[in-house]
Amino acid sequence: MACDELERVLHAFSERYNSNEKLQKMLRKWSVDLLVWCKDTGNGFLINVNNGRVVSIMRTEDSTTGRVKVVGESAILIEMFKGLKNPSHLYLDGIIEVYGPERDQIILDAIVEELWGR
Amino acid sequence: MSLKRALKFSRLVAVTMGTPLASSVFPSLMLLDLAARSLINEVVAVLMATVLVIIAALAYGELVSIYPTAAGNRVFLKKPLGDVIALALSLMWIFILLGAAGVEGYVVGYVLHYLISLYVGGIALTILSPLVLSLIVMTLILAINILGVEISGNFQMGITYFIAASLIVISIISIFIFRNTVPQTITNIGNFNLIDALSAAAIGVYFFLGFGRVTTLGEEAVDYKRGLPLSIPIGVSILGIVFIFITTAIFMRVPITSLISMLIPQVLLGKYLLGSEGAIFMIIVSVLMSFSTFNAGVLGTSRLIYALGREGTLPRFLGKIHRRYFTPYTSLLFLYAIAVLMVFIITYTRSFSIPLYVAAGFDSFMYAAIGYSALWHVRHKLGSTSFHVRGGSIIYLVATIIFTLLGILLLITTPPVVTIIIVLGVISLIIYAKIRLKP
Repeated sequence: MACDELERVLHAFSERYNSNEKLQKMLRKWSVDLLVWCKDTGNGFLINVNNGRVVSIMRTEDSTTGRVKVVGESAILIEMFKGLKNPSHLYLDGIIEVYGPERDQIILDAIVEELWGR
Repeated sequence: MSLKRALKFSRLVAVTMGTPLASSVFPSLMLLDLAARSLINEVVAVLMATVLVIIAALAYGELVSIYPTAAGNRVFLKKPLGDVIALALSLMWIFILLGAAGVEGYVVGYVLHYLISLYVGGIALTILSPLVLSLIVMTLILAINILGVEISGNFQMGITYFIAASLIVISIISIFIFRNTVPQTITNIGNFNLIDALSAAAIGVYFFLGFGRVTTLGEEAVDYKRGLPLSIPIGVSILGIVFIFITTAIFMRVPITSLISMLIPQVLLGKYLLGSEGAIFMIIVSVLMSFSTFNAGVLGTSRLIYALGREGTLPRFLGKIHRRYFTPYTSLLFLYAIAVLMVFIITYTRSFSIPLYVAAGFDSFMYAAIGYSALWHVRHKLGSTSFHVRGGSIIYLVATIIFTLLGILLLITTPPVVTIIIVLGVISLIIYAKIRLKP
């Protein structure tokens, strides 16, 4: 259930991101595999970003995949990707874990800032 | 262990070592030698500091395995000490690291000025003063970081291990081989005095400043929960070996009058052993040490400031992102400003000892807090299963007590201004944290 809800939220997030012209222009050279991993359910979603556009979101049970990985409880991830929680606050409190090159992490912050003003 | 995992583990160890292997260790060496007063006290002091910091590293390892990508000490301290105290101590820690960056900037300017003085003199040397050279280096580091120039992790790893190996080799050569070419040879180990050794150990703890920076990186997902906690005590142990060798070599071979008047005893050591080639070699090693420390320390500290700015705990402008280079440029500028201010303060007061004593003192109290936090998590059964220290309760309790006493001893044996700075700093930041965290 939580997984289905997160999948819906991620699709909505991706649509919002793909339709943001400013972000598309800013990130036109950015390609990454982003793994959103739910530590309570033991599975996650691999978001493939190619030249700045989200091209696919696939369920996965492989926790080692992805160049960037965001880990948290599914309920927290849902709220975060809906824009209801400040990712920086969650990160600083250790509620979510973020792995990956610093530049990619900052790009994620830029996306959040542009979409929700946080 | 496969080659890939071995390389990644080696990198984690190198990252642990990178920040503490700073050129500012050498002026603090002078303070340690003055406190120790004898060779036996000096060796025992560095040994004690190493053992104590290894214990602190174990505590860090335990906490990192519970909070793998924690952005600094705040998360580690929040549950046992409350958010206000945790934030205040973390902010104080940031300012300590920024101050240390300033001391490092000051020393690297001094090193480069010495290098230039070997080849040029007169007006050129006057214009290229240590202060100017410090500013040039720090501005260059700032530019590299704002532009997002990434230094290969393997290249950085290579530099770190090269530095460690060079310091050990130079030390062994000076202690055992070329001892007759140097102006001083201390062979008498002197008298052991526990208070002197402990006072020196409190300063020796400063040598390891920033070893925990690796906890803020979160770069590699592979084997993070076990590899990272393990790499910290191993990295600290290697650092301990390096520091024991180099401090002993300098104590035995560099006259105390030279130690007091020059900030670069490592260059003098190289010069005594191998002439100008030796001096140049040690200058290269020192510059690499500064480069490694700046690259490691600057990045980690700016990331934390940036994250706190985005959260709103620090002023929001510190959380701005450069939209072309995707770097935390305002936090980098802030960091640069504080470090440059420290360089000016040290240059015009001609005193680096106070910032070093403040850093060493607060360092001890911070490790005590970390030890207490590890103890608290173990006692409340919140420990991780991937990295757990047997007998951790006793080890962390001992660490908490010893580091607290060490910190108090340092405050008692140093000028009162050190205590004033630490106490006022922490109180001010507690007040700031209370205001900022008001619901």
